Amino acid sequence: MTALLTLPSVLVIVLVLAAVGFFLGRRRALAASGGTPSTLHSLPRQHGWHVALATAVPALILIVFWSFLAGLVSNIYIDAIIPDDQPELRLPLEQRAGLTEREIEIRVQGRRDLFISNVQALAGAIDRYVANGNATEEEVQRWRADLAPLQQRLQRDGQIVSTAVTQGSLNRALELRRFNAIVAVTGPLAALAMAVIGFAVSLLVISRDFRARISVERWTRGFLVFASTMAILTTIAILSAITLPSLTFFREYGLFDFLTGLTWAPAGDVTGVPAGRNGEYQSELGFLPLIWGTLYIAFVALLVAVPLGLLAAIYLSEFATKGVRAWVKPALEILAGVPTIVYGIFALVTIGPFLQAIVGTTIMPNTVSVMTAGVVMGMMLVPFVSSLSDDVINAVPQAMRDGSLGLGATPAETVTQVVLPAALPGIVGAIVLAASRAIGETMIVVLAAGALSNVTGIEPNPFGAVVTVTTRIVAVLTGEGSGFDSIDVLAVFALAFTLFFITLGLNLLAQRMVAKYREQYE
Amino acid sequence: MNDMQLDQRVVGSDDIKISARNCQVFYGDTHAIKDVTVDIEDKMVTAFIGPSGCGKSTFLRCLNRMNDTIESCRVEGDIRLDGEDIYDKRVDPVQLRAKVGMVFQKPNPFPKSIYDNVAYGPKIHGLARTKAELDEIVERSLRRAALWNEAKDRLQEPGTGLSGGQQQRLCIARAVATGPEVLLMDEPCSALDPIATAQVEELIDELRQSYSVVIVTHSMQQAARVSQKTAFFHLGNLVEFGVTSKIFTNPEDPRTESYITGRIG
Repeated sequence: MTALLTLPSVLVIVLVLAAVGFFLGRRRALAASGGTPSTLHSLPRQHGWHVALATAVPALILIVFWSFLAGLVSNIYIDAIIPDDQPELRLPLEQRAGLTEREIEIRVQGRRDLFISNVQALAGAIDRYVANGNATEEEVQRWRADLAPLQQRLQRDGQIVSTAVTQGSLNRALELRRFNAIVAVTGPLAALAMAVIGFAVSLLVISRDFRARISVERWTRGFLVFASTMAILTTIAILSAITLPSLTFFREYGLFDFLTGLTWAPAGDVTGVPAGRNGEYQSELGFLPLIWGTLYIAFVALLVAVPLGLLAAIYLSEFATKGVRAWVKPALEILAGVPTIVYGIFALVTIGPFLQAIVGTTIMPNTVSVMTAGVVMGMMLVPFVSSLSDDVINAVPQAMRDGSLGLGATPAETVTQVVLPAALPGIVGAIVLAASRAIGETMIVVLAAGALSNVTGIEPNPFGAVVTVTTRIVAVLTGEGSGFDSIDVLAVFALAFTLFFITLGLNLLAQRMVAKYREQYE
Repeated sequence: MNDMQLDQRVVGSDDIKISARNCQVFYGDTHAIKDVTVDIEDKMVTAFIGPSGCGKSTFLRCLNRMNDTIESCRVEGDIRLDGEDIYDKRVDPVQLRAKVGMVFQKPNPFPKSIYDNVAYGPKIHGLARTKAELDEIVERSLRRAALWNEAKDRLQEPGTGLSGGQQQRLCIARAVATGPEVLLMDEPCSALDPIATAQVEELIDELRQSYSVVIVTHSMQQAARVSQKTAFFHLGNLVEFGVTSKIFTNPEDPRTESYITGRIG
C-alpha cells in the first residue's frame, strides 16, 4: 500500500482517473440530455473536460506544492527537535579562549548548522542503505552508533558519511526518518483524496442545465494566469534567494566599505563569518575594481557594437535590396545564436594574440585584457543592436521618408535628418539593452578578461587584465571548499544582488524609452 | 486617342509645364498605367479623378519620380518638364523633386519643430545663406500656406502638435519652401474635416498664382471647385481630359458620364 503512495505513482493514478472522468462525464451528460444533446447547456465534450479538470487540477496543485513544502517542513522539524543542549553543539573550552560572546554565539550557530546537515546526510544514507536491501526498517530502528562501526558499514554500501556517527546524530536521524516517512505518505494520500472527491462531485453535478463550458473556461483562464505568473514568481524567488545572504554580508562587512572599497582580494576564508577580529576581515571585498572592469569592458563592447550594429540596421532597412536583406538579416541572426563560450574561445585564441602582436608585450603582457573581451563582446552584440534598431527604424512610417524624398532630399539626408531622429528613442533603448547584456555577460569575460589573474585593484590600461563582477562570482563559487557562510561567498551574493539591480534598472530604462517611442506612432 | 487630340486642340496653350507622352507604368507584371498622354499647364490647377485603383496616384508619382523608391516599379514613355525628359539618365531625381514638390494624403510633418519642418527643404538645398534669410523663407512659406497667423507664436513647438488641417497646411508650406515650380497633391484633403478642407482648397486656389498644381482627388465636388482642367482615369487609362466645366457638364466619353453621375466608381 505504501509503495502506491509515492508522488509519482499517485500522479499516474490521478491522470488515469481524470481520463476515465472525461469519458464518464461525457456519457453522463449525453444520458442527462435524454438523447437530444442540443438541449444541454454545454456540449458533452465540455462536461467531460470539466470532470477531468476537477479531478486532476486540485490534486496536481497539491502534489506540486507538497514536493516543495515537504523538504521545507522537514527542515523546520529537524531544527525544532534539536535542543540547545545537544552535546554535539558545545564549543570546547580551549576554542573559547579569547573570544567575545558574539563570536562564540556565531561559532555555536555554525556547529548547529553543521550538525543539522550531518543528521540530514545520515538520514539520507540510511534511506538508501535500506533501499539497497541491506537492512529492514525494524533492524534500522534498533541500530546503535557504537554497536558496530556503522559509518564503515554505510560506506561499504557506497553511502557518503563524512563525519563520525555519534549516538546523538543517529537518534536524530532516525527521528527525522520517521517524520519524513509520515510526510511522504500524507501528501500523496491527500492528493488522492482530492482527486477522488473532485471526480465524484463533478460527476454528480452533471445535469441538463449545468454550465460546464463556463467552468472549463474558468479553468483555462486559471492555467493561463498560472503560466504568466510563473516567470514573475521565478524572479521573486531568485531575488529572495540572494537578498538574505546579501543583507547578512552588508551588515557583517559594511555596505559602505563594500561600495567604496578599492581592492578585491578574498583571502579564501572557509571557516564561517568571523575570520578576523571585531569585524575586521582578511578578505578585502571592495566593489569598485569589479564594477570598473565590468563597465570598462561593456564600454569597449558598445564602442564596437553600436556603430557597426546601427550602420548595419540602417543599411538593411533603408538601402539594401530585398535580395540582400533576405541573406544578411538571417546571417546576422545566426550570429546572435552562437553560444557565448564560443565567442570566448575565439577571443582567447585569436583576438587576444592578434592584439598582443599589434600593441606589443610591454603594453599588453597577457593575451587576456579589456580590449580582448570588449572587442569580442562587441561582435557578439552587433546582431543584437542591429536587429533591435532595425525594428525601430522600420517602425518609422513610410510617410516620413516619402515626405523627405518628396522635398528633394537624398536617401542619406532622409536617413540622418528624418528617420534617425524619429527612431532615436528606440535606438537608445536598444543600446541600453545591449549595455545591460554586456554587463551581465559571463563566459567571454571569464575566458578573455583575466578570470584567473591576480588583479585586485582598478586597472586603467585597456590592454591589461581586469576583474569583473561576473568573473569574481565564478571564481569564488568554483573555488575550493568555500563554505556557504564564509564572508567571501556572502560577498558573491552581494555581487549578484548588485548586478541584478543594475541590469534591472537598465532594462526598465530601455523599456520606458522604447514604450515612449511607440506611443508616438501607434 | 481621337478624344485626346481633340482635347489638346481645345486647351492648346504655349504654357505647357509637364507633358507626358505614351506613358506606361508596370508594378512587376501588373500594367498599372496604360499609354497615358497628357499636358499639364503652368499657373493652373489640374485635377486627376477616377475610382480607386484607377492609377491616378501612380501617375502623379511618376511626375516627380517618387515611383523610383518602389523596387518593382517600371516606367516607360516620355515625360517632360519644361521640355526636358525627366527620366533621362542625366537627370537627378533629387533635383527634380526640389522642382516638383509633393503633398501627401495623410499629413506627415517630421517629428521636428514647426520651424524646422519648413526649413528642412531650404536647408538641404542650401537656399539660405544666413539665419535671417532662412527666417524669411520660413515666414513667407507659412504665409503662403495660410498658417503664419496660427503658427507664428509657436514656431519652436513640434509640428505633430498641430491639428490635422494645420498639419496639412504645414506640409504645403514645407513643399512651398523649396521654391518648386510644380506642386503635386495626392488627395490632400482626404484625412481632413470639412472646415480644414475648405481652408486647404482656398489655399490651392491661391497657390495657382505661382505654381502649376496637380491634385488627385476622390471628391468630384472638390475637383469642380478647385481645378481648371480635369483628367478622368479608369482602369489605368486616361479616359478623358479637358476643361473642368466641360468634363462635368458635357463629358464626351460615356464612362466619364457614368462616373460623374455616380453609376460607376
